Amino acid sequence: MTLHRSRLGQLLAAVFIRGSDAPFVLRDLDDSFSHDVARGLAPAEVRRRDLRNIVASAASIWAESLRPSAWRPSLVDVRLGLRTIGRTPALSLVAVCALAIGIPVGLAPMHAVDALERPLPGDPDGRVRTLCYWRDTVHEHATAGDYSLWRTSLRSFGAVAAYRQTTVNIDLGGAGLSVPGIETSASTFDILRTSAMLGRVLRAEDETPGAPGVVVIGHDLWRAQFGADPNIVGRPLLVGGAPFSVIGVMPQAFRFPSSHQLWMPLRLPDDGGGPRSGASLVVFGRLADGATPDSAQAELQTLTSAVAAGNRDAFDRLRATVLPTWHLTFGFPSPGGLRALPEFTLIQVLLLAPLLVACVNVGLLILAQTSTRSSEFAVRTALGAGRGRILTQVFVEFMVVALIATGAGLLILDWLPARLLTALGITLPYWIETGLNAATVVRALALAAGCAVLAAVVPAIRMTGRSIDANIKRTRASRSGTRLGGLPGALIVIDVAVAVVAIGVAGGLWGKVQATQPSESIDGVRAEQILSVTLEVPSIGRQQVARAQSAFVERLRGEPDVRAVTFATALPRMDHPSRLMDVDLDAAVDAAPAAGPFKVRTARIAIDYFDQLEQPLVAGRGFDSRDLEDGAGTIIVNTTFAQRAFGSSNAIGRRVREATPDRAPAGPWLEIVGVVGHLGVHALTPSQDDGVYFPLAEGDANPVRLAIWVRDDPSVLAPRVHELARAAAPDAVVAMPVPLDEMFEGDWYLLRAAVLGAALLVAVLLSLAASALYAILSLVVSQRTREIGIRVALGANRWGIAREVATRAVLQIGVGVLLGLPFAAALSYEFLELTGAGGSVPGAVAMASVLGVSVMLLVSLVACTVPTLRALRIAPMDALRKEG
Amino acid sequence: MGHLGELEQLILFAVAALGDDAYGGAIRAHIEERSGRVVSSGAISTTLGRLEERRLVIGRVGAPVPGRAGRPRKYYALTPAGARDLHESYTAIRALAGGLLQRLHALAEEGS
Repeated sequence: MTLHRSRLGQLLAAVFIRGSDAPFVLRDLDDSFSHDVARGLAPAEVRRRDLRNIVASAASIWAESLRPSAWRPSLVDVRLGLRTIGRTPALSLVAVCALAIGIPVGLAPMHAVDALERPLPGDPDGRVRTLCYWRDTVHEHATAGDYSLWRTSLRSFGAVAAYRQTTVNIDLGGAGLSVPGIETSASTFDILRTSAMLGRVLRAEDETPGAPGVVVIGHDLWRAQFGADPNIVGRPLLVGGAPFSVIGVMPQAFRFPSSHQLWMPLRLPDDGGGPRSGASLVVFGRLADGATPDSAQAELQTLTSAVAAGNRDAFDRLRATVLPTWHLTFGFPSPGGLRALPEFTLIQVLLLAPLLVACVNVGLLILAQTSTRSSEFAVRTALGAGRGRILTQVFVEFMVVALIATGAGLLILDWLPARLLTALGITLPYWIETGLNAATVVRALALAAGCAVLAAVVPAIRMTGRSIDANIKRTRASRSGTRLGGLPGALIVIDVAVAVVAIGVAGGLWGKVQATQPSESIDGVRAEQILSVTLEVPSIGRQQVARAQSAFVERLRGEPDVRAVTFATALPRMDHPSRLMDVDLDAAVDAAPAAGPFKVRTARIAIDYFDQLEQPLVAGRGFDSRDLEDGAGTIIVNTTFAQRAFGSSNAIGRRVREATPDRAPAGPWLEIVGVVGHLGVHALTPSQDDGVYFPLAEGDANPVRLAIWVRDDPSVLAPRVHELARAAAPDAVVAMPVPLDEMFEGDWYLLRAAVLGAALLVAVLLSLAASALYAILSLVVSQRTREIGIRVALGANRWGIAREVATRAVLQIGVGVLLGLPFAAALSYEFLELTGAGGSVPGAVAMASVLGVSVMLLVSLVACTVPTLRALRIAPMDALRKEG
Repeated sequence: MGHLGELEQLILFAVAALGDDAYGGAIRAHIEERSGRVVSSGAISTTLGRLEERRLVIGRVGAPVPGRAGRPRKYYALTPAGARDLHESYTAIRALAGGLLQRLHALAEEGS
């Protein structure tokens, strides 16, 4: 009796013995089985040995296919890749364009963070660190008292320095010029290991009160205003009306801490008045030899704990930190910097999505193209090429395309940011370089390799997954290539879903632009008639600041064209800083409609603010001099906040206080004395958001924003405000005199540019998706020519077949749309929240989605119809003969 | 000389011994009969593939045989480079093992 292999053995061999050598291994398995039978082994033993041989063989073959050397690319692959590009120029062009856009967009967030979060020049190891406080998630600067303590106590720092920013007027023979500068300790130059290009830098003796006034100027200022005078050192200069002399000129590359051009000595009282007292300062230092950021942090923490023990109120929830220097310039909302923020992750994911879409679409196109190459793969396999060899070839082929795209993408990333910033008039801190860096190039190459795997290798794995004879048989059976199975269907669904999400986000952005069109009726304030200026008095004495502010306001009111003048820390339509506020529920007559704490936007305003802007209160009273007394604890809220916190009940007399996110108190109770309408508390959504106003006395904030209501064109008054400010106080500095509506438009144009960019990206992706959809659907349908021919020959209804083909495509699109819509809605909402808008714009999202879905449906119907009609036109016998 | 692993040496010896009749099944049977080692057909196939890449053996596809789903055998022959590497490899082992076999045997006996 002939012994046959077990059914399990047959099944395992058929399923697991794959690859180019599968026929020979199967033959060897047969031979080994026959050999064991011939040796006279018991049937059970023969089958056991056979099963073991099959399983061990399958394991060996799979392990071999994963061997790294099986994937080793060669120059031949590169040549083949270049030849394939030449053979399929359209596909290669589409792939290059898609990736050349997708790669820089995907890299942009990390590239930007790398550019922002880098050490200062001359400090490659990051030994210079800033010392500051954090109260919960809010960054707080140190004070003169802290600086004095840290400078004398901390052993982890070789030197500690402090500065405060100021803008000063310098006198240039009668004409004034506002120059950004800092008052800084002399140790700054030692810590930054820099010296003057001409003359000298500041010295410790320059900081002594009463010492002669000296100033170091920047290279740009020296060239532009002093004609690069080589004898500038020792030249007298009026700074803020006071006599100074120039002692040095810094090199061109030095603009510490950001884009500054003037350095004056910082003169402080001896001890600064103790920790947490005195003027607000930025403190930084260079780590001592042997110290690490961690050891410095530990020492600072120990010192702070000891000091806090005697002053619990001032140090409540305060955490002293030693951080990298990029915290000097940017008010990052987290000690970990930008990359530690969840919003950053969201943006990163959002901006990688276009690349994913591009890869999926290019993958679909390559799948369509690869399927027509199945006969080529079969022949190469028959000639001895392993699967790894073919996959390597496909990978290298696509890597050639991806590398061209990466090169183009990197050029864009190197070139565009600097041009864009220049066009927008944004000056970055001197130590930021927007050009390419090594990390970005490495990430770009990794992305290119990822794209090659996703877009080329995955389809090729699909194509080469069968044994040689299966491929040859399939190649013989159908000239149009290998059948694609369920993979294209899945990719089409993903493709449509991602396209819908992209359209949704773009729609959301567009809706936001529509919702934030500048309009004078948004907040009832005639923004186009109001000139906004910033007044800064470079003095630490409250009385001096109050006098200067008061004198400037009085002089402005004396101008014939000025209708009203008031001041605040933020004016209508500007971004007001946000805080969390909790409502006193115990005192509530009825429960609040929504549970706090509420995120509100706040401003400190002059007591005549609403009167001057002619904004009548909706309820209660405006501020008066009583509200400026210590412990008055009164506030005015806007109607949005009143409605949200108290519903229809009266807000007047109710109490609110600052709170932590878990509703722990963070400030005293404050009584609401008035309710006012919307004045705009956010730059992008003037009509939204909750607003809370605190009373502000002259001298209590420096700088302040002044709103000057002009009867005529406010820009006419702009040049005059400088003269008036200097007349009021020689050292007072006026900055940014622009009409309020123009200041708002800056942000709006930025948003519109973002929308335009997003729309462009979505348009590119949509056209890519549409072309991929067309290619894949028409390929799938054309592969059914033989089947359609037979069915027509057997008497099937032609239009029934056409309907069936179209229904399948529509179903795939439908599933994609259903999958994509919830994500589109959620993402657009998240994105709008991120941009500070609050609330989504469902109408615009829905409209954009409907448009996108319509485009996809149209494309897929055309993609199905053309090849189906072609197939239906073919006579049944012709179809059989052609494909047989 | 390229490094040869133990399995590679066993297979090369089998190919050399089998001459014109060296195909996977025969190699497997030969190794098992002469050394007692059971090696899977897949391991023999992948090892031969690697040796072929290194040009130590040369393969040729035989004629399809009826009754085995038309699957052909693949026959292998030792190349001069393969013969040289195998010779050098075995000579090295023999030089190292010289005079040690009796001692190894005695040690093994003590342990058992």
